[in-house]
Amino acid sequence: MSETGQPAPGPALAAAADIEAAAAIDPFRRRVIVARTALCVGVLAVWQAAVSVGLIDPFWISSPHLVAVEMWRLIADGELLTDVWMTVSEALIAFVVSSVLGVVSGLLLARSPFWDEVMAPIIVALNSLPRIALAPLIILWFGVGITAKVVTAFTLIYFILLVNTLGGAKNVDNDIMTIAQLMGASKRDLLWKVTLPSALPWIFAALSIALTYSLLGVIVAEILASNQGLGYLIAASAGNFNTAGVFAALVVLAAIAWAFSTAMRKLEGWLLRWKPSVSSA
Amino acid sequence: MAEPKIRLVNVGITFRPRDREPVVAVQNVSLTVEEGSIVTIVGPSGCGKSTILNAVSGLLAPSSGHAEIGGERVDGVRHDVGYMFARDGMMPWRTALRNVEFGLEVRGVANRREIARDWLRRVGLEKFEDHYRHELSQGMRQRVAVARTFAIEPDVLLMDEPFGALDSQTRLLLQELFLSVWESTRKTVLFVTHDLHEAIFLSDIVIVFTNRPGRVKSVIPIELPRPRLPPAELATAAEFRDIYARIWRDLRDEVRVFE
Repeated sequence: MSETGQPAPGPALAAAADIEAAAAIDPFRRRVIVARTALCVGVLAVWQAAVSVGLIDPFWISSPHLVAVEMWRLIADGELLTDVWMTVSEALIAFVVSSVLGVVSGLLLARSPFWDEVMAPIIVALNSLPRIALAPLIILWFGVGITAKVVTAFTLIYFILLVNTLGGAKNVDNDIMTIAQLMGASKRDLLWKVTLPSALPWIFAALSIALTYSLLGVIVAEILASNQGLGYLIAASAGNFNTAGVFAALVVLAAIAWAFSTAMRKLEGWLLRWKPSVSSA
Repeated sequence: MAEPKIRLVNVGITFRPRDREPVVAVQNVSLTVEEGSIVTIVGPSGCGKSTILNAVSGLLAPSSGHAEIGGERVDGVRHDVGYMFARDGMMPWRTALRNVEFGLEVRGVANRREIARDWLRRVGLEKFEDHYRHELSQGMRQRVAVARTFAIEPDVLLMDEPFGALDSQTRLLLQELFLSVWESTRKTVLFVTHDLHEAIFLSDIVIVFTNRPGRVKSVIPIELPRPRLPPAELATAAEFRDIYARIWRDLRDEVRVFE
């Protein structure tokens, strides 16, 4: 029995095990990285070869070489940077605004059983609507500027955050709630020190999806109507039969999405460091 | 003669679940707990022991009668009581230290860090203050709960089978720890358990409850000297066995009825 002796396997033990394991699986890691690189290079090589040998017309699928050249041109004349800046800032604004509103709405609904009951079927209906279909309407209302992009992404993100926050806030452990109340926690304390931290894992699950969706919403709105941003770059390139331009934009988009999700995982790993299952990788 | 700190006056509690027959949980219960003493309620499971604690803490309004703390009628959730359950109720997002701090924090106590540290030391967890819940054993979590409960210096402690979920050796250690902490603070304690050993070891008075609806069946003073012997040694004393037999005789019929 571990009562007076050792704690349950804690970070110290786990860390020691990790170090040993890291040393032990090092060859494994190396093989993973080698295989991953080989896979990517292989795909690029086949792609390049198919075009170089004349198997497929580069008009349709471009080629790694043409994409690299196009990318370089876009970087050199500054166009790419402007587009990236536009798309990233729109996506981040949409993400922050919608997430904050979604979390606040979720917490408010959790406090009012009446409004929760009133809103539940409405939220389900709106949440199951393919909301991206609203994009043309939103552009009609808000024009080609940044507002239309933010609103499009908002329709995608808001309900995800609301539903998850509500779920988390309604699932606070009863014992913890009772003890906090008996200890004299005010309504405000209960919200900030009990409900919110307790719902945080639920909120983070939604935030990761929301980040991807904010990019999706912004890109779709840009493709539909815009004169800047990566969505515009994709639409304009495709319109000019410039497949290399489309691929260049996609590569940059992939890089942005990867950076977003990595940053999110880091933040989550830190904020939820008290959770046994979350790794900070 | 000490003042009664907790008083229940003809308390009856009936639950009325929707679409089902009302359940009379407790009926006509009157009891007092004198200031600085430990009174334990034992009874068959489902006899409304926990319900009584909820009525004292104000979490539950009795259907008839009333509860008093310090001569004042309980009306709404009390913030001057310490409450412990079988489940630890630790906040998993806070370290052990910050869990103990919680009550002091919401009360705006300035030197809460030192107080919390001191209490963690007193329950033997000074080396674990930065550990989260999942890094602690069940017994350690319950130690945190003891520290958290005492740290806010409540006038009254309500204990709802606080060591019931622990393995038997850990339970003995925690009972001893609890009693030694209690000796140094002499808070008024209303304790609920189904463990007769625990009841005798801790209490000044043991109250046996009947099967549902719970009523007071007998009130048995435990006249063993304090500080008490450790539970394992106490169990072999002749007086202990007499008291045990006496309580069990009263309780046995009630448990049997339940079966």
